[in-house]
Amino acid sequence: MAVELQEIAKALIAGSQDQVRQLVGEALKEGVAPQEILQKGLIAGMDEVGRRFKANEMFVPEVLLCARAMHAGMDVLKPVMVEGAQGNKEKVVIGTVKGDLHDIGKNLVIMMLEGAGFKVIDLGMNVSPEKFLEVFEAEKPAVIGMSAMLTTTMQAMRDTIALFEKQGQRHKVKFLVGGAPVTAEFANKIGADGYGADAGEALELVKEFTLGRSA
Amino acid sequence: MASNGKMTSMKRIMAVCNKEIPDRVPFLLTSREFGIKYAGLKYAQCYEDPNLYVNSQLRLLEEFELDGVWDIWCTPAVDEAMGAHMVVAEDDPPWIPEPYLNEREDISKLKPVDPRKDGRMPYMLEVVSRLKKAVGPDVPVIAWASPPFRTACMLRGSANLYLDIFDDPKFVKDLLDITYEACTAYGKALVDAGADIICTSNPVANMDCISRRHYEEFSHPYTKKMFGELKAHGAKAILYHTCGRWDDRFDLVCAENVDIIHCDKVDIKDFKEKYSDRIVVMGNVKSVVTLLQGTEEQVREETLACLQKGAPGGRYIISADCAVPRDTNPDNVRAMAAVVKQYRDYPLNF
Repeated sequence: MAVELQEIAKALIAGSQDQVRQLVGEALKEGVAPQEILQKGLIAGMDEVGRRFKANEMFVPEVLLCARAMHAGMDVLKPVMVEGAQGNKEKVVIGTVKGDLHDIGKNLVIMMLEGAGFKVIDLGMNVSPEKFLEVFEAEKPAVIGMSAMLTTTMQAMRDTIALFEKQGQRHKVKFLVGGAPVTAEFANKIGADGYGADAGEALELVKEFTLGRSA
Repeated sequence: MASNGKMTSMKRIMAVCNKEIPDRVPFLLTSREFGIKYAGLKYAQCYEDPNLYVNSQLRLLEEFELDGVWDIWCTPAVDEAMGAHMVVAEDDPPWIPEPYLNEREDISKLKPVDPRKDGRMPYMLEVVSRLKKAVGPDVPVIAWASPPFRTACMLRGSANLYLDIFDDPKFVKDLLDITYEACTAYGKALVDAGADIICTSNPVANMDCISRRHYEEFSHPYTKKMFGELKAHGAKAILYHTCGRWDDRFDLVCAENVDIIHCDKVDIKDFKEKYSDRIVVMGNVKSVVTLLQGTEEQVREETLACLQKGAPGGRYIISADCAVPRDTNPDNVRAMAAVVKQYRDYPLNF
């Protein structure tokens, strides 16, 4: 019996990495195009995960479980996918700012972005303005995401945007900021393009920022 | 150190905990970092000389007419004592850079703690003891103890522990049993050293992180038992700072032997209507948007609004919604203190 792609999405939503791995493998054997498995199986599943997270029907542990299942499916798909067919190829560079060692929120945003097909370059924690600039120049991402959990470190977001201004690069990229002490007002004050109150909002903003750009 | 009012700070806070109307609205600010900077110091200096820190708290107590002093901030005190590597920064609170329990098997590495000997704990106890000696019996010393779930998350790494909940719930409970013992031992030592109120916070267990079902299973019973033990050991009150959203589990917090809840994202009036029969509410002038980034006028307006919502009927402590940020303009804190002083007396007169 043919594998229904929505079964893959269901298995992903249930957080079952073994089942996702198996179903993706079966679908490939049956000749379903990898791109179709990705879009209608894995990404469709993660879209629903994002919706449930936003509606407080799922929480971080459940999302982590689903993301793990998605990665299990991707591991099966990647070797057979032709270059350029792995979904949306827009790049997003993301990191927790200098002096800050919190990453739960950042990692959650990464999962949502990857789940939606974006290529995410995770710079980890304690990322200096210079490092953001260096990676921007090498990778040319559409969006840079910055996270901070502390009132003392959130100022580094301002410093990063200021460095891009100084180097004449500010207009080439969208800055998205988030984290517990960060507010829309603060984001506006430091010249960021957007503020995501949670991972779902961050994803929506990245989609908005990249809409119409060539993928 | 007697207050200028009819009641001492200690009596004032115990009055709101005991459902009595105090002489005036108690005023607390979580002010460790702000106080250190206000005194012209760096964090690292306060980790070398306890008197520098004690004096920074005494200065705030006097200048802003606060009703309590706080221990120095060290959330990973228990983690370090159990074996994790802790970093003390020049001017930020200490942190644990890497999870100590990379694999579940690493649980065997955890050492039982002796708060009087291990890691930074003896220093923390010394600070609390000196604070108590300095303020005497009339002013509460408030000291922080980690809840077992938070320490478990910090030792294992939150993302790892969240997945362990599904992969190996028995491991999570075994770890919680261990962190419960360590956190409770440290809490008791804080009480022995002179802490009157034990405060805590649990930002990895709020609605932004875990479900109510998981909170009920993995956080609530351990915190309830720990706070019950600390109160039996002599803690006069338990203060729970709720970072983030807690709307669907405030009832559980109220049932954890907690006396005071320090809230950020709630409407004080609504919260009191629902919960003030069970708990005292503390807050919630916005510490970042208003105290750190706002004008003195905005601070005055919001402080008055909080008093108008919270003070009627007692069971309320005026405060910011979280710690006062280190870089807050002292004029904003003065503006808040001035409004509190103007309107704090019962019977209220707004």
